Amino acid sequence: MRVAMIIDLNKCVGCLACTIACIRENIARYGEEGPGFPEGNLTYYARTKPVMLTQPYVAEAVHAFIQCMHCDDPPCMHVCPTGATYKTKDGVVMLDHSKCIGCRACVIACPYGARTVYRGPAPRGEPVSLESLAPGYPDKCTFCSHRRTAEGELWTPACVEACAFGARLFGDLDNPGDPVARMVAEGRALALYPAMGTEPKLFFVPPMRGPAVPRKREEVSGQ
Amino acid sequence: MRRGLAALGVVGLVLTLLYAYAVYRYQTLSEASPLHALVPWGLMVTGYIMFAFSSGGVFDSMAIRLVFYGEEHEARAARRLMWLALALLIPGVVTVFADLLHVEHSPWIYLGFNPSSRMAWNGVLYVLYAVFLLAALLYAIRRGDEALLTRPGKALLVCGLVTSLALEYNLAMVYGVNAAVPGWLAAPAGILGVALAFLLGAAWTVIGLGIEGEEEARRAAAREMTLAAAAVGFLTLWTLIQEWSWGLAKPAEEIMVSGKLAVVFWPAVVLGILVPLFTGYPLSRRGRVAGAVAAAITVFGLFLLLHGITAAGQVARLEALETYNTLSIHALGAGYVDEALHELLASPPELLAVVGEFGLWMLLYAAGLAVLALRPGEKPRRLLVFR
Amino acid sequence: MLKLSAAAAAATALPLTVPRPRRHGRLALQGPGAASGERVAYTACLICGQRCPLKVYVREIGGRQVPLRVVHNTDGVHDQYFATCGRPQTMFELQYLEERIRRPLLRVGKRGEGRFREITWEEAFNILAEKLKKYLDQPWRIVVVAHQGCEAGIVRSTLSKALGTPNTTHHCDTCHTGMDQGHRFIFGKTKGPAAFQPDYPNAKMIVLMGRNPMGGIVASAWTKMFSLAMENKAKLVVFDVRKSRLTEHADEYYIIPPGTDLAVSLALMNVILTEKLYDADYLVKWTNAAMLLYTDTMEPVELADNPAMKGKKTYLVYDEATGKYVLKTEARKPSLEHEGTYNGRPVKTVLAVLRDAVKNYTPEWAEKITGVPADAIRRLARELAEAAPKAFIDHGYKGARYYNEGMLKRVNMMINILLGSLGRPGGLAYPAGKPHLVNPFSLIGLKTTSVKGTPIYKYWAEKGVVNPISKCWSMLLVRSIIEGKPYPIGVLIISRENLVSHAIGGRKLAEALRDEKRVDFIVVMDTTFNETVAYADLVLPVPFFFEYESPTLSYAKKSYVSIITDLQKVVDPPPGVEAKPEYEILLEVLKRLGKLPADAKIDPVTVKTEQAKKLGLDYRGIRRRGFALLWTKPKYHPWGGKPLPTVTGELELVNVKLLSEYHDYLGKESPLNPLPVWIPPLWMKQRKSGLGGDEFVPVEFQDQLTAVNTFMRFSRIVRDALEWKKVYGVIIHPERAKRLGLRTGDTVRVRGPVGEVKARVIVSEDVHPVVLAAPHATAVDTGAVPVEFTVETKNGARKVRLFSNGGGYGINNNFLANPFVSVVPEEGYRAAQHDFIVKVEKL
Repeated sequence: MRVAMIIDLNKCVGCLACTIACIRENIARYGEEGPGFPEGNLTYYARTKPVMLTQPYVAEAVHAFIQCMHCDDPPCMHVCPTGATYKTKDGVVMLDHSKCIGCRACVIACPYGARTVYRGPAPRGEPVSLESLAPGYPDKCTFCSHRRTAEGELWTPACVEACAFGARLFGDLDNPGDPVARMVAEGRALALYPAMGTEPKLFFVPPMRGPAVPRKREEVSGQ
Repeated sequence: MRRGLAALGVVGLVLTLLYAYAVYRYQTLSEASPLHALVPWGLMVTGYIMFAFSSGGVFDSMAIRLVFYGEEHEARAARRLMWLALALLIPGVVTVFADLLHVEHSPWIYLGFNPSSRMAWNGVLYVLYAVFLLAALLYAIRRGDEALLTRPGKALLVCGLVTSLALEYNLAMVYGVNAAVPGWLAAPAGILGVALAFLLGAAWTVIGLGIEGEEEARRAAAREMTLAAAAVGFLTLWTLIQEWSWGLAKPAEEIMVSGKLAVVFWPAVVLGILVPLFTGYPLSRRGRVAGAVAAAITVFGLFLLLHGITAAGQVARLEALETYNTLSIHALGAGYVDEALHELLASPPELLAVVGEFGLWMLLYAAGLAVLALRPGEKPRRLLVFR
Repeated sequence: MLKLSAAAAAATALPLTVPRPRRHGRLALQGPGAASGERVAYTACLICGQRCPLKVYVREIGGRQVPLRVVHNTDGVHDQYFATCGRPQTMFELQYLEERIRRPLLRVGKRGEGRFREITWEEAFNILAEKLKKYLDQPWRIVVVAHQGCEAGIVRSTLSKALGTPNTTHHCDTCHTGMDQGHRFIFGKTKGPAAFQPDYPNAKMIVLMGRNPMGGIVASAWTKMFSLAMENKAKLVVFDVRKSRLTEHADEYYIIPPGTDLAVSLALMNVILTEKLYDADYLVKWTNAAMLLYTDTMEPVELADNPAMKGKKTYLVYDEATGKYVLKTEARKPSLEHEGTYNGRPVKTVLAVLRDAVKNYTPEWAEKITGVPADAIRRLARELAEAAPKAFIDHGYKGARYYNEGMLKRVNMMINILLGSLGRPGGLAYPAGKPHLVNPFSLIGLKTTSVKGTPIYKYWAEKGVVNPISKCWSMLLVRSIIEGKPYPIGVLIISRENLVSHAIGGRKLAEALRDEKRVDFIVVMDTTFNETVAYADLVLPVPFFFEYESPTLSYAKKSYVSIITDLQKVVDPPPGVEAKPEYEILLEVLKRLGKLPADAKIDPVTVKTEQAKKLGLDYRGIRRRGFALLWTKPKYHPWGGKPLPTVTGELELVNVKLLSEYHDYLGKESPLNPLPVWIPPLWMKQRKSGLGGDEFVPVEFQDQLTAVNTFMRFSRIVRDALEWKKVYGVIIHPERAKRLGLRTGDTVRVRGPVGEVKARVIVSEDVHPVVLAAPHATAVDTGAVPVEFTVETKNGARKVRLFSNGGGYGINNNFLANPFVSVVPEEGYRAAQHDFIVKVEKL
């Protein structure tokens, strides 16, 4: 199984349900006095950050997300001296906090800006999982791997679950029947900076303009 | 002489305390800033690269002179030079660890060795180099300077030389070969690193032997400064040309040559390359102090050059890669370049740590000269190595 | 030492100091479905009023029940009708906002000073009951304003029934009333945003003006279908005053001066009519386009009872098949553009009258006003006609920004009718229906009394305000409070309506509210402190919608297939927050007033079971799923299924009744003109020669995370997201900023006709140079309203600051505009909240 995610920028309305769901699941902690947050701008520490991208898809700026691409050939993993950044059997790029020495080589190596480092005080309260934001570590998206229940079974990351517009899909690239695998195979979902050879597993369906593409959906019949 | 060493030691001690304070500040820093990830490698990183290069450079040229040319005057200076190399290596290695955010996990560098990581290899190379350096030094102290010219002595030196060159090359390549940091040092990174090591080594030798040591070896090092400076100059030019001609890396070249880092880069060229090229040898001939001043200026200039390159790569990335660019604008606003440069050039704890690093070297070097049997032909009287 | 300092740094991190292998997945959660230790709760989001059904997974963590996963609730089969946006994702934070009201509060010190003391609920009930008792014989002096929350309608109707007050209202006149009024000219009665459903997924071309289904409120289900339209690559054309996520999706967008979309619409209509791009068959069949009018008096030539439609009239047309003037019911081919003489008088069809009415509104004319190239307008009109009926101008939502918005909505709907797109697949469809839900108080023996006295809106109607809507007159209430007419208000009950922030009033309203002679007693029920709480005599904390079991079923507000939602309790309010829902407050107060038996009780589940039964549904099923779908398809019919309440029963392009009623307005730049006419926005009228260098038209927009429920702006998550997106502040075009010497981050004073706010500047090309744009209600006029409150508690004084998480440097037009000027008396005194000029001054 090689898990992958697609963000369909045609369907995405920019409501930020995904970003907030990520903050709730991975960034905030919980205690008697309510949620504890890191200092600074929370949106930055979310593991999926809304941004305006101008390239490489369109001439005009488009909203997209910066998030770990879970590269098949992850530069951050290659440069990690201790093996703290590693790839799971499912292809999820993870950080083992107990091995991380904090050299930031992974931060330097990532071409996608996907790793953040929070050096402020720990948010008060209890984290949802061991994979939650921890101060001083090169934080990254884990595809919510802590939600995984069994070997070989897909789970639902918090951002995918929160998206009511179907703009986020999570699936298995090794399963040809999986819609994610299909969209990637058909070339509808594209990776960022493919030329860098990192083979990302987060794909975007770039925004498509009306007249450029023929309509493909069946139309609902009349009265 | 003794008084001079004592003064050096006292200044070193004061600066070492400053170093400790700076590292404490750095390690306990509590601040939320996107800059920690957008430009993660600051002055301390450049600091330890420079000290590692310096140590390697001192050892390299000494080893080459002994192993391949059998220079006897060099052999007489060898113990001091090896101590100099060690006194430079220690602040470098300490700073490597001081710069880590989770030094407590550092055993994993070896326990979790990742062969694809140049940094992991650095871990190994540092240890090997340090072992050979220490062994050669002990060997020379125990067996006398001439022992270095024997087969086992040369074997130790060759091993040290190989690991040191590998370390310099590898260390530079950590920064040079990286998909995300276009042209950080471009393709010549490794070789530029080695050249820098030689230049730094020569300069430190001039300083170290200027404090106390063999005149002939000092002058030889001063001559070497000229040559190494020419090499560094050429490789720097080559690096710039490569960056300039490769789209993604172009911002790195621009920011250094004509952009906001020009105030660092051009002084670095003057101080780190032109000064040793044209004044290193003449001034060294004039006297120990004049030579040491030229060499110190060179070291400072090369620090600027290294940091300029380190910083330029990181800032260029914010411009060249759309992901970083958009992230910077969102997180820091339109003036993100200034913010990033400020973080890279003027982070107070890191700046203090780098200054302190020199102090640690002073303390170690002065203490070594004072208590270790490092003089030519000197026999240790106490505890194997002490005079 | 090194080790020590590192350990100090590590102490703040995970406790993982010793090298050891990874402990993987110790806290494994499950993907779909609930993990162990998690429970599922159903509710519906009430942050904006859309009531999107939610499925919330609650887990105990850190010693608290946390709404940890918030998922849109759906049946899977009709998923296109279900969605929810990012707003409810914040519920875990909302609970703990610093601004939360924790206990009932009684004012100490002067009204409007912001000083309170905590009291018990028992005391609060008694105080409120006593105050109400005082006015029971003059019930009209009890005024109820309620909107948000599960039971706002119940609050209004119950108090009206129990106390006999005719004065209950809410804020729609600051929201969509312009649209409602504009549609009256076509449909014979007001029709609001919920009356139509843009059939996005089947559309080929969508034109949006003044509506952003991606960022706006009361939109999620629409947004979902809209995103389907984007996936299906419908052509999207947007007219707006600023760039946004929406314009990014658009195939074409035009950034125009505020309030000028009407010029574009009139020009589109001009092209459609002059080039005969309309759907003739549709117009003949479903509209009165063929109706003959006397050109001299503009009266219908002949009306007669329609034998086919009871109570409706048919009219004289010119039959092209026979060349005769006959009644439409007898004509074979009624002419649409006939002009001739009948009874010796010149006659013309309605369509020809329209064509002539807009003949001067050429695309070139519109270009001069809006900057939209004439060629583009011409092309868009042709493209619309080509794509019709799967093409339409979205009917929009808000209609209280500009003076001319009623006319805009009317003209846009007329264009949809000309295109034959109204009530057609891919066009503008109708919702399937709306359920009626029984008021829980009617089930427990509420003693009702008849309504007495003249309602406030009727008083103003006598004073010249045209067509006030009986449920919808908050601006008239503001005027009554300010002027003390027609009578001083006795008890003003405000429930989850931030009136001071919602309605135009500024310092005039603030000053009037401080005067106990104009309003004797003010009760505010709300979740958090806000601008209105500042004027309360009694403050009653109510829970958030997800913190209690709703006493009534609800339905998704803009649900064209009608989704019944069930708001169940997700989590308790946090300890220390003693909130009670409105129905419990009403229950206690009405008991004390003798309006309910002493043992009266409302069991929410019993009420909902009863309500469901009346709808023919089984409540147990609803409870298990959190919702029920009443219908599954919208209506595709030009009239929405049955004859309309117009004279002819048809869609009237020129309204027969209003044509005679507003005959005097023909030829006038008035919203009451029965024919389409250009009406400049007020700001344009005020500055015929253009704006001064420091003058702007202030535009408030709903961001994806703001809402009319103004507690959203207190959220840290929301503040950070707005900051991140570079929209928190007033957005000014670089061209204007440069001339004023303004740079991003500068602080400015934004001065309106009756108030001022301090704001932070964001310089961006995303806005029209005329405009100063900011997210909704993100500033307070501190010269008028306190932002800091002091609460005396048992444990000493507690200070509460609005915007405790930062922010507050945007704008709120309602503090700036003049409540006597930026209104439309012709449309029931609805607000024109963006239609005025502010001056910007650097601080």
